[in-house]
Order: sequence, then C-alpha cells, then structure tokens
Amino acid sequence: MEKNDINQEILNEMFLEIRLIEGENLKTGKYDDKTMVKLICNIIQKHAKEE
Amino acid sequence: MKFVKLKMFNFMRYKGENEISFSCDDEKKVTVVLGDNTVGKTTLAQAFRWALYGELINTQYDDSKKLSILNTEVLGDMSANDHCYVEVELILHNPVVKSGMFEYKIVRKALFARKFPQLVAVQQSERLKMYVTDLETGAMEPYDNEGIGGKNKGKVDELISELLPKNLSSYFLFDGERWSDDKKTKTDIKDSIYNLVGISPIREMKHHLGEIGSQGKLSVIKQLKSKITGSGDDYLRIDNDIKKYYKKIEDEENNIFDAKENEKNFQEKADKIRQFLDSNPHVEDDQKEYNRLKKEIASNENRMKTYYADIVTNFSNSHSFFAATLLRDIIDMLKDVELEGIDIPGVTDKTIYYLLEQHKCLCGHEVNENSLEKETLIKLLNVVPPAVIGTEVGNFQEKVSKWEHDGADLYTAVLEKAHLYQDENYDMIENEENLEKKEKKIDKKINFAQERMKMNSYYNQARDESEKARKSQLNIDDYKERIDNLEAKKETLDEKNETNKKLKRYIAYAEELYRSAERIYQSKEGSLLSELNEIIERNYREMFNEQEKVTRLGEDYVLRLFYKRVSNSNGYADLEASGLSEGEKIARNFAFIVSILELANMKKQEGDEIAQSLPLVLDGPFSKLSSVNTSKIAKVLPSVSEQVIIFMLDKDWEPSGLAKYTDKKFVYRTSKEVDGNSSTICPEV
Repeated sequence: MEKNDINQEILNEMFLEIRLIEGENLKTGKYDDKTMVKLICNIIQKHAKEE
Repeated sequence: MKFVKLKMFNFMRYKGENEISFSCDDEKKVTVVLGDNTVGKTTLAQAFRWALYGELINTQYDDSKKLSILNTEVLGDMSANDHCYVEVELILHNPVVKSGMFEYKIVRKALFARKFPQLVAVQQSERLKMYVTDLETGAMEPYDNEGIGGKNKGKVDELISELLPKNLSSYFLFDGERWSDDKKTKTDIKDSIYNLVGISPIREMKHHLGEIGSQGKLSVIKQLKSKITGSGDDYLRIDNDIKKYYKKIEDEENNIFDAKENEKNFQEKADKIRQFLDSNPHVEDDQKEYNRLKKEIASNENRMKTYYADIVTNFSNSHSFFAATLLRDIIDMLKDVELEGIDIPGVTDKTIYYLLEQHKCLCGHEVNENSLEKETLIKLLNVVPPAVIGTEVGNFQEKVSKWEHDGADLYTAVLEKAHLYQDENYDMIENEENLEKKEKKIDKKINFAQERMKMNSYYNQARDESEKARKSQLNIDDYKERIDNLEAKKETLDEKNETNKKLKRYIAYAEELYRSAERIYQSKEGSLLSELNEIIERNYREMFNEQEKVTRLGEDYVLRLFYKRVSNSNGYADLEASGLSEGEKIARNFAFIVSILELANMKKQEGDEIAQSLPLVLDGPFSKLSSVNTSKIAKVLPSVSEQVIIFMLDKDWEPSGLAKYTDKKFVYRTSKEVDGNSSTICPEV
C-alpha cells in the first residue's frame, strides 16, 4: 500500500481515537502497555476495515 | 480535575478525625480556610502533599526530617508498646474523555509506635491505596501501591504522577509563605507540563505505535508485521515452480514425441532387414555354411600339422626299432654263457683282492695267513666276475627285451598317425571342394549375419526409445501431481495473501500514524515553550503591573526573571535579575503556575480534550504581597483554574475579593483548642 492510498479522513479518526485512549489511560492506568498495543491494533483494524 | 474531600485522622495538628469538603461548583469554585498563624493552615497543605507523595513540604523553619505526622497529643497518650495510625484520605474527581467522570480515592496510612518513655513516634509501616471508581457505572478498581497478587506494584504512584505531577506540586500546591526553589530537572518539569497540555498522550501513542520493546519489538507496527504469514515472495516462488513444471512437462512431451519417432524409425529399419532376411532364407544358410567350411579347413590344416609332428617325434626315438635284429643275435649268443646266479651281486675279484691286501674282512674280522677267513675269501674268487658274470648278462638280456618291445610299438604308432594324417587330408580336400562350390553360389556383397545383428540392434534401440517414452510419461504424471499440489498451496496462499494484504494496509496506517504523532509531538514541543512564555510574560505584567521586568521559562525549563531591554555593548538585551526578594519569587512562580493552567485551559477550549486543568491549592499566597497585588492575583485565579482551595489569614480575605467566587458553606475556619495543641476545622457559618 502506498502512502498516497491512505485515506486522510480515516487516518484522522484513528489518530483522535488513539490519542483519546492514551489520554484516558494516563489518567486511569487501566491498561498496561501490552493491552494498549492490542487496543491500538484494534482501532486501526476497525477503521481500516471500514475503508 | 477537582478535589472533593480531604479527611485526616491524627494527622499532625488535627487530632482524631477532621474532614473538609471542597467546592466543585463551576462558578463559585473557591474554598477558603481562614485562620491565624500557627493554627493549622499549613498542616492542611501538608496533608495534601503527604497523601499524594508521602512527603511533607520542606519548610524553611522546620527540619522536615524531624517532623512527625502523628498528632503530639495522641503520642503523649500512648503507653509503651501502644500502636496508633495516621491516615489521610483524599478524594478527587476527574473527567476521562468519552468514559465520563472518575473518582479517585487516595488513602495513605502509616502505623506508629511510641519510643517510650520519650515523646518520639517511630513509624512501623506505611500503605498507599487507591480506589478508582467509574461514577457512571459504579465499577471500582482497587490498587495497592505494593501490588495485588504480584501485579501493579507502584501503580498508585504512577497514577498520581499522571493526575497531579509531583514536579509541578510546588506550583499547584502553592506555598506562598514558605516558597523555596525546588531543584527540578528539566525532564521532570517538561514531562509534567506535557501532561497538563496534552502532549503526553501523543508521546505515549508514538511509544506504543513504534517504540515499545527493544527496537520497537512490542510495538503496534512490529506486532502487525509479525502477523504477516510467509514472505511476499512465496506466491511468486510457487508460481515460478508451477511454470517450471509446465516447462518440464513440455520438455518431456517433446522427449516422448522424439522417442516415439525414433522407436518408429528403428522399428522400421529392423523390420526392413527382417523382411530382407526372411525373403532370402538360403543365402544366409549358405553364408553360414561357407564360413563354417572355411573354419573347418583351417581346423583340418591344424590337425594335419599335429599328426605330422607326432610322426617326426616317433622317428626321433626309433634307434631301438632299427637295432632290433642285431640285439636278437646278441641274445642268442649269450645263451651259451654260464648264467647261473652264483655270483655275489656288486662284488668282483678286485673287491676280494682289496680285502686280502687290507688283511681285514668286510665283517671286521682280521684276515691272517692260513686263517679260515683268508681261505674263504680265496674260495670266493671263483664265484665273482670275471670268473662268473651271470648277473651282468641277466641285466643286459632284460634291456634288450625291452628295446625289442619298444621298437614293435613305434611301427604301430607311426602307422596310426600316418592314417590320421591322410584322412584329415582327404577331409580338407573335400571341404575345399565344397567351399569352392559355395563361393561360386553365394552373394558376398551382403553379409547376412551382420544384417541380422543390425536388425537386432535396431529392435533393441526401438525398445530403448519406447522405454524412454514410458519414463517421460511417468515424469509427466509426477509433474502434474506436483503442479496440483502447488496449485493447492497457491490457493491457500491466495487466502493468506488476502489477510496479508489487509495487514499491510493496517501497517501502512500504523506507520503513517506514527509519523503524524512524531511530527505533531515535535511541532508541539517546539511551539510549546514560546507559547507558554508569551502567557507567562502577559500574566506577570497583568498580575503585578510590572513594566520593567519579565519572567520567562528557559530552554532548560528553569524559570527566570529578567530586566527588559537593558542596553549593553551589543545594543539592547534582557538582563537576568539576581538576588530576588521573596515577593519577586512568589510573583514569578505565581505567574508560571497560572500560565500553565491557562495554557492547559486554552488547549481544552481549542478542542484538545486531552489537556487537563489542575486545581490550585494555595497556602498563604498573599502573605508577602501588597493588598494591590493580592487583589490583582486573586482576580486571575478563578479564571485559570477549575477549582481554587486557599488557606489564608483573615487580613487577606477582603482584599482578595474572592468572596464573590465563594459559596459561604465552603468558608472554613481552623482554630486551636484553648487548652491544647491540637486544631479543629469547621465551617465558618
């Protein structure tokens, strides 16, 4: 997949969602790094699938 | 973020349980505790610090190491081996984006024993716990700083550090009366500011996307990459293999074609010869007979040579044959000789004479004159040669008989060989005649035997070619089977490729997200300092009506005060002020904390949901400021902070003008008991 194929709108949605969950986790400490990596993977898959 | 309640038990000046609730109203956001000097205002600030960080404010007039958090009166009431605990509970509410409001209950508890009879408290243990409750769902998560079941050790400290960074505690837990410059590291202050203005989540995002683990091994990007099955070359490799097998099949098919052509050719050639041979059956027989005769004649010649040689050999031993007549005459003549065998074999008259001369017999007896031995020996002279030669003649007769017999065999032998020789000669002559006849009859141009050999060779070659074709066909079957297997693999790979394709898309997004996060992080990092300094300068100017001085955060994240645009050898430049008064330090730090909070608020208003605002807890902030400055600063506080908790002297209350931001029920007074050392806190109304 080329860089040009990336849908900016989807990328922004992903970015905001990940940033949000990172901010939430900084405050609640709910998830460890491993879980955070999984959650981010899920966010990326969710948005990229919708493409 | 807002503090909801502070509950103390036997903490420093406050004996037993004392609690204070804080205003969480958005308009009337100030909570004030009034009280004279030394009645426990600072103890409240200490309770915040101890609950959050497990330490006390490093005051100028106290040696904090000697400070005991156990209430002195309680300590005084303790006997030997008595134990008593101190506990501070701090509750705060913090909205978490998209997850609603969360309550954080921080409980720090320390167990003490008295070093009896001295009035000294010895701390036995300390525990820190936190209970995080989702206020919407009621779900509560407990954390113990020592870890629960081996997990989450130090987690409470981590969470507190994210909520209320200790490095900024000197600012939001502002101790105006006993301000001292903490030696904070650039990284600590920087990280704390990043938390407040919402850069930290981007840093974390960057971390999780591409940096976590050794060389980012545990990161999102690497994790996604690890899910890709096989390399992208697998498909190509299988495809190439299939093509290769198709090519092999093609080659084998050509081989089969060639082999069949060859087989046909060899078969045709062989058949042709066979046909020729079959159509001339006698020629081949005649040729065979001709060759046989030639061989037979050669054999005849060889045998004749042998017979001739045998005859020659016989003649070379023929002397006895030719002497036979003469020998017969000799035998006749010897018939008259005395041949009675009375002589002694091997003894002659010479033997006897020798013994007589020696005077000794063969048996060892002495032979003397006139002895019997001599007489006997002389008698023996009559029976030994030459007087008697019977033995010699007998031997000779035997020899002659043998010669006679041998001569008789020679004749027979020579005759026999002569006959054989003659017969052989006849045979040879006959063979030569037959050969001559055959020679005339046969066609010598074509060698039929050779033709037959050639035919057989062609048949063999035809069979070989047929075998080649069969093997090639087997190879083709094998290649076809291999192709089927590869096609099946390709099909599986096609499915995998579909997954890989998806994964590659996710990776592309993850990598782009990482690049974006890095770009934003760097740009925010770069602009943050100048943005913050602009606000600090404005606040300092407005809060203190200051025109000549300016305060600024350096690249090293150290807050400094400068004289504005002083002329020097290079023209005009800001000159760092040194030897600051306590008032100037307070003003500078006030400007700083207010500015950080303002920046965080600005970010929030700009839509940055991650940026967080902190409550301000101020202990005697105005005690060293003029009433004019007090009014100016106090006016700013409610606008930059979500919540203001302020402990102050009565004298500063009115000039501060904070009454209009304060609900009366959140005005408290702390006072000391008349006949004791402990304080109590109660609402003013």
